Amino acid sequence: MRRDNPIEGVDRVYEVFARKDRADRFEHVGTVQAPSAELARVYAWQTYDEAKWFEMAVAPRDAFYRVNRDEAPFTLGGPPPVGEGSVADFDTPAGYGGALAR
Amino acid sequence: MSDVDTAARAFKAAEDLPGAVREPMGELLLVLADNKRLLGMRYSDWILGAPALEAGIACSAMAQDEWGHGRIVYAMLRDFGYDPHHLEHERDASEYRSSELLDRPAEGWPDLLALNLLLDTALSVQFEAMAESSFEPVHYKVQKLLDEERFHFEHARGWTARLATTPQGRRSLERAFAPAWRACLRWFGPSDDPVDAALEGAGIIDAGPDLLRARWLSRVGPVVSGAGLELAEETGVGWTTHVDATWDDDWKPGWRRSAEADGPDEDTLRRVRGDKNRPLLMD
Repeated sequence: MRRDNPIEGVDRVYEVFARKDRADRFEHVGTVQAPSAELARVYAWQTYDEAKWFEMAVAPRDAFYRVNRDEAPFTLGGPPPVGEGSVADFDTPAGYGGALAR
Repeated sequence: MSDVDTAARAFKAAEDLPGAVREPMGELLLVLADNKRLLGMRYSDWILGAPALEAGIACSAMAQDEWGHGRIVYAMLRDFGYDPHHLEHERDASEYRSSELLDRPAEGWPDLLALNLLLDTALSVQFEAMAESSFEPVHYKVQKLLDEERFHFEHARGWTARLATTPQGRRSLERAFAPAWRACLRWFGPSDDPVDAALEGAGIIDAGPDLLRARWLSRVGPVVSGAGLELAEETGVGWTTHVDATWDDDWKPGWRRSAEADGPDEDTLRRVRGDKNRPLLMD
């Protein structure tokens, strides 16, 4: 990182979960990368806005304890984690589709 | 709804408002609508080029929120004798009542954060003062708007904290926040603003300029202070600032903007009015 770069620190990947109705189970809707839980909440809410969610929650990916698989990449059945903002990242079908399509 | 609620919301439409209040209320709504519209444009300037893909998406969402809020308020102005189409598409720069902070694009990300944290919060504080308004059309619109604004504030707070983690970032915040800080203190208007007194008297807003400024300070004070900026401090009586807000001649009262600034620059005006697509405009 350049010495004069005003932004320090590494983003964490947060897994995003949501449900449309109180009676629904949470489903994994995608991931965001953020420098803090606060921004992860904002990014998740504004990115995955394809439904009127009853409830949404985020958790840092590294907070999960793996049960039967150790190898990377660790995802929760969703798309692979977003990389460095490359064009290829836009092609992941379930990744940022919600926000880009609206 | 109880009798008390019914009585509290005495004004179901603009025509029900007392004569002395109707015009000032229309002006306040126009100020708010113009600020929302222009602020939305400033967010949209950063959909591409924000420091992170997610931040760009956040700017896109915030721009859409602001435009939505602006559209709702412009539509309300029809009942106050304004022509919304004219307001949105046909005015000169000198007719806009948006803050001078919005006259030109934010130069850098810290400048956008200044708008995001300081000005957007000022607008929300003003809307909050109408959450229980005696003017029913506003009362019914405010809560959803404020729900959306909660995320704008958290975006601003998260990014301000992040930039503040390096000396370079903190310096960039200091440079960007100083002018916006003073402009936002001024934005609520002088203590003795007669327009606000009339609106408060009629129960349309629940507080005048000084109290609204204090509410704004209590919201943004902890954020700027946490970032190490010497703009606000907490005292025994709440958050205060050593920065003086003075108005003198450089103020247009009903417009809530500097009298010396000309209005949105040419490119801003062209875009905000939709000049490029004028032949395609539909009502």
